[in-house]
Amino acid sequence: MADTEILVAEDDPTIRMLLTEVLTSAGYKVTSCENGLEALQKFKEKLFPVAIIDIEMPMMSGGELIENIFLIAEETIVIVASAHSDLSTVIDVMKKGVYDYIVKPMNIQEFIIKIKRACEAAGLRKLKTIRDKEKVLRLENLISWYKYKEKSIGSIDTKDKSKFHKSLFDSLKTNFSQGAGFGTLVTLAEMISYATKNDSNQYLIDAEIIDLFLTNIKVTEKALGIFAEIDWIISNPLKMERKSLLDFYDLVCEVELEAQKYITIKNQRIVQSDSKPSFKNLYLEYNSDYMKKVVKELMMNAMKFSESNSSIVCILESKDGRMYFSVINKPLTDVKGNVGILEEYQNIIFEPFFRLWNYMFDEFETLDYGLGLTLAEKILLKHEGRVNVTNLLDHSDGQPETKVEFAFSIPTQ
Amino acid sequence: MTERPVIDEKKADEYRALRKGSNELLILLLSKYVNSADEYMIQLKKFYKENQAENLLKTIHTFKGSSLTMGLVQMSDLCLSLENKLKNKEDIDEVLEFETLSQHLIKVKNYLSNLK
Repeated sequence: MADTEILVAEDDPTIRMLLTEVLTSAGYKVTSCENGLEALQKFKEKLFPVAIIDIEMPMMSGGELIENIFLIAEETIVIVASAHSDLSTVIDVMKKGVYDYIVKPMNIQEFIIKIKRACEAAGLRKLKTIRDKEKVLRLENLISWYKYKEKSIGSIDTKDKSKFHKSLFDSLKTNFSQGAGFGTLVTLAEMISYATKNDSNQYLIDAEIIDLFLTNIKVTEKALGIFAEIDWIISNPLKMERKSLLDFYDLVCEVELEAQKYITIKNQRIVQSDSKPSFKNLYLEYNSDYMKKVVKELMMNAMKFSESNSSIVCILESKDGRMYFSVINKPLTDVKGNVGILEEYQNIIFEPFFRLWNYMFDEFETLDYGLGLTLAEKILLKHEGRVNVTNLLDHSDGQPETKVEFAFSIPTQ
Repeated sequence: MTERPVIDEKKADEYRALRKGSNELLILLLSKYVNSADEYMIQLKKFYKENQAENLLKTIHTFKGSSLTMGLVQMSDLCLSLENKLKNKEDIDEVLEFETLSQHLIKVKNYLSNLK
C-alpha cells in the first residue's frame, strides 16, 4: 500500500511542505494543492484513493471539497487535518463520511499509522467497489438476454420479413457471443412453432427461418466444442513436456508467423522481444499444443481490439523462478469513450461468454463467443500459471498513452 | 521567571528525526514558516484596516495552525488568544496585538538564524 497516491489539500505552505515530506519519506506518492478548488481539479483529473484535507481553505472550503469528492467517488478515504478543536466542527465534518480526523499539531508517528490504516482501507474499499460493479455487470447481462427474448418473440408478426430476419440474425450473433446463445436457440425453436401452419399434418415452415435455425445450430455446435474442450482440460491431466525457454520463444515465433495472415487487416505489426542467451538454460514444463492456443488467443485478441496501424508488443522474460509472457496493445476507444479495460471488467473478462465488445470480428475468422480467454485461463491453471490484464501508461513516445497488457506466467525449473 | 522557549524542542526533535537527526528539514520548514508568517502579518493588518472580520479570523486561524505545527508555542498562544477574541467579537488593541506577534516572529527568525 506504500505507493498509494495521496492528495493533500492544505493552504498553509509550511504544513503542506511537512505533509509532503512525511508522506513521501514513507513511500507514498503525493500531489499537494494550496486551495480546495485546485484540489478538486486535480481529483477530477485523477481519482485519488486517499485525500488529506484542511477545513479552512480559500477559494473552496474543505467541507465543500469533501462533498464534491464524494459526489465523484464515494469510496474515497478522506482524512481531515485541522487546527479546529471544537467538538461541533469535528462532528459536522465526520458526518460527511470522513474516515478520520487529525488535530494539528499532529504527532508524526501517529499520523503515519493513521495514513497506513487509511491506505489499507482504501484498498479494501476499491476491491468492494469493483466487486459491486462486477455484480451489476453480470445482472445487466442477464437482463439484456431476457429483454432480447421478449423483444424477439413480440416481433414475430413483423410484416417486413427480410428486414426482420437480418436484424434477428445480427442480434442472434451478438447474443451468442454474449453468452445467451443456447437460450437464443430455444427462442428460435419457439418462434418456429409460432410461425408454422398445420396443413394436413404437415408443417409449412418459412425456408428463411429454417436456414437461420441451421446456421445457429452450427454456431452452437462450435460453442459446445469449446465447452467440451474446457471441460476436458479441467477434468484431465495435460501431457507436459520439459522444454527450454528458448523452445517457448520458438513457439511464440511460430504463432507470430501464423498471425501474419491477419496482420494486414488493420495494418498492424507485431514486435517481439529478443531471445536471450539464458533462455536455453532455463526449463519449464508445458503442453505445446495448448500453450500455442493460449499465445494465439492473446495475440489475436490484441490485434482485434487494437487500433489500426498500431504495434502489438510481445515480451518474453524470466524472473523470480517464473517465465512471464505479455502482450501489450494500443486499445480501441469504446462507445462510452473508455480506453483500456475498466477495473470492474478485469476479473470477469475471463468468465465464459463475457465480452467487452458486441462487434463480431468476422475477418479474423475467430468465433468471438467470449470463450477464448476462459479456455486460455483454464489451460494456464493446469500449468500452475497466473494470468491477468491491466492498463498501462506508456510514456515511451513522449505523451502518455493507455495500453492494455495481457500477461501470464508459469514456473521455470 | 524563566522565559518560555521559542520552539517546543520535542517537536523540533520529531522533525530532526525525519532527516537522521540533522537540522536540515527543521531549517527548511522554519524558513517556509517565516516567509508565510510575514505574509500573514501583512494580511492581518490589511483585513483589520478594511474591517474584513471573516478574512481576519481565517488568516489568524491558519497562522495558528502553522505555528502549532512548528511547535512555536508563544506564537501559537498569541494566535489562539487573538482568534478567541475575534470569535467572541471582543475589541482588540491593534497596535499591541500585532506588535507582540511581530516581536515573537523576530524571535523565531533569530532561532532560525542560529540553526543555520
